[in-house]
Amino acid sequence: MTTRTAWTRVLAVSALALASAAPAAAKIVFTGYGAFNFTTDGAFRVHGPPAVIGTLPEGTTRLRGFSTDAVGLFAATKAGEDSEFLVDLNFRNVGAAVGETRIQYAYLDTALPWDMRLQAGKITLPIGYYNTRFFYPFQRVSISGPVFQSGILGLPIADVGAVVSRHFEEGDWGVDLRVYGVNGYGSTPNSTATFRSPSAPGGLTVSRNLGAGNNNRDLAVGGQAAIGARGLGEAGMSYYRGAWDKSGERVLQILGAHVLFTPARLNILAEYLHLDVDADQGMAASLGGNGDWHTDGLFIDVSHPLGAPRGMPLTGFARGEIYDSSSDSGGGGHESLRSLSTGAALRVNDSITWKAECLWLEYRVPFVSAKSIVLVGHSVSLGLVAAF
Amino acid sequence: MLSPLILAAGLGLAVPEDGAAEVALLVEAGLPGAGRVGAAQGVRVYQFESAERGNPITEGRLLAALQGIERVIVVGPEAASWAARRLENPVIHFAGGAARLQSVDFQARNWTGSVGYGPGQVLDYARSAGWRRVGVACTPAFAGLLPSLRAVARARGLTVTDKVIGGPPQVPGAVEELMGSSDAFWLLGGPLTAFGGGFDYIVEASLSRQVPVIAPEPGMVGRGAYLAIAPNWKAVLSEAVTVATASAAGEAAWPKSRMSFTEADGSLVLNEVLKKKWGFKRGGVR
Repeated sequence: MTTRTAWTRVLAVSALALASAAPAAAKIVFTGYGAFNFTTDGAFRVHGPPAVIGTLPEGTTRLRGFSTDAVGLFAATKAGEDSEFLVDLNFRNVGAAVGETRIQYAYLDTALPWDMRLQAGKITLPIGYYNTRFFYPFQRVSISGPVFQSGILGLPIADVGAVVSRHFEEGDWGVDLRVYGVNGYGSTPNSTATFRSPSAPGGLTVSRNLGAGNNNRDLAVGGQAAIGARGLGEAGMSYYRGAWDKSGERVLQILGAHVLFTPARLNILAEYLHLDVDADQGMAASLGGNGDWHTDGLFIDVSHPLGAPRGMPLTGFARGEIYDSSSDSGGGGHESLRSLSTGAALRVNDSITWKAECLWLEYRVPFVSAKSIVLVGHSVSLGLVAAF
Repeated sequence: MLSPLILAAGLGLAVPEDGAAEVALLVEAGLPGAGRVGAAQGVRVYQFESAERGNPITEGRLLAALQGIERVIVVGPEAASWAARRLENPVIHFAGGAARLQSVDFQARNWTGSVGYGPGQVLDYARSAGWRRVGVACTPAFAGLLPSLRAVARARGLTVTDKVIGGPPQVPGAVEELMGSSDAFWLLGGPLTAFGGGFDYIVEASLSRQVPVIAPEPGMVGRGAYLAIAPNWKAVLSEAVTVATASAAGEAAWPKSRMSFTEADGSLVLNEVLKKKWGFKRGGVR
């Protein structure tokens, strides 16, 4: 054998050995869900100044119809020894076309030294319990989420940034500490001095204030501390602080406290929320004062098994919430939201759950120089959640 | 010419030992001792939360974490049900919880399993209750347990008659034959007989003939079975960790039998209502 032929063989074998030793590319695992609703009966009475209720018809609106609440695709893949990359692609307002496509979250979850973990990318913020553990329809018994948190804060609260967390465990007890830095809430789109605008529809929600980038040089920071025990539940506190306006001077603070109590098969979740907003000219037109306003509110969600007809677990729930917003300087009006809902969920198997829900809602937002917007109504809905 | 293995070693690449494999433990959270199972040399440990079944986010993350792992040991009945439906790893062993698994899957895939308890404890109770003749029914995946079960029964002076049930049409005939000739009816496993319509039929026959049913899972006692053994999960977990660690190190520790008993005794779970109604007492007095 010539030297050249021998070296050719060695190189070929080496290439083969290297190829067989190289790690295989990790595959992406896709899972997902669909949530579909049928409102059998709904009636909502809307009254308010025409200039602010916008396109909503004044008077009583009756509802009946089918809707796709959301279709979501989750992707998970290993990105290293103790790392994974996770994405939630969510489609909403599905009709002839998809009205809204969201990347609900997309982040790297990786281990750090000292048993810490890092989530970096677009992350769901650790504010309260509902935002990270009950938001999706397959995580909760009810069809709808708490109205204030879902409709006005806009769940899930997710933003671009990073969270560092550490879990401590002793026996059945565990403590979780999380700190984060994100872009934070900005002002209402197309505005620099308005955090919320008392106009309907859409102006009262702040979910659109979370943009693709940061509207100022201030990074919002926050954290959560929670203690829990298997079979007993969890209690925690959450805090967020960030400037929302372009100049970086007007601050939004969110303080939350949550308790999840799970004795036997009962499940009780209570979440208290305090919002504090500086110099918001939008809500000054509603609540009066100089634009400094605050919200205090609470929801309580209780669920319990009701049996298992034909071997299918049936769970009942009841939820109540009450929220009140007013100016820090006193006087002026109060924005108030109250709702009650009750219903049940029948879990056919791991993939299919049928739900039923009755919801009553009363919402009022005042105006300094006009009459209030009042929204009162009820709905009865059926829901289907399919997970795959 | 250089050996490619020597060349690879010289280049600093990992050369797998004979038999060594990447192993993962999937442990059902909430089982006694589950929280204390830590990562062992070469073994990844994952917790399965049965409350998270049907949650596509947590299921997707678990599937992504387990993909590419050659051997998986699944501990616990709820974890077993989920893993049987979702995992596609090459080699899977089900430690406890095997009663829920379809025989056709065992035969078609490279699965092994253990039932989480030993035959001695059940047969000791049978002897003390005066059940001299024990009828044993199972689906094909559990047929491998029958020889050792017969031997243990013989040693205790008990007679075992067994029937392997291949499909739903065979259930009534097998139940009729075994209950007609036995003092107790032992259901080893297989969802065909242990769950759903098959089990309902067996319970109905048991109640009408007053022949006690020995069930493969404790939860079935509340549905009409007379007796079951709750596995000693700490012992099952300990055994699973030992097998996993040894397999990861390349030792020939992986279970050889398709289905096996577990050595450690569990706890007897009795249907007190039936016990009072039928009056079975220790010593065979009724």
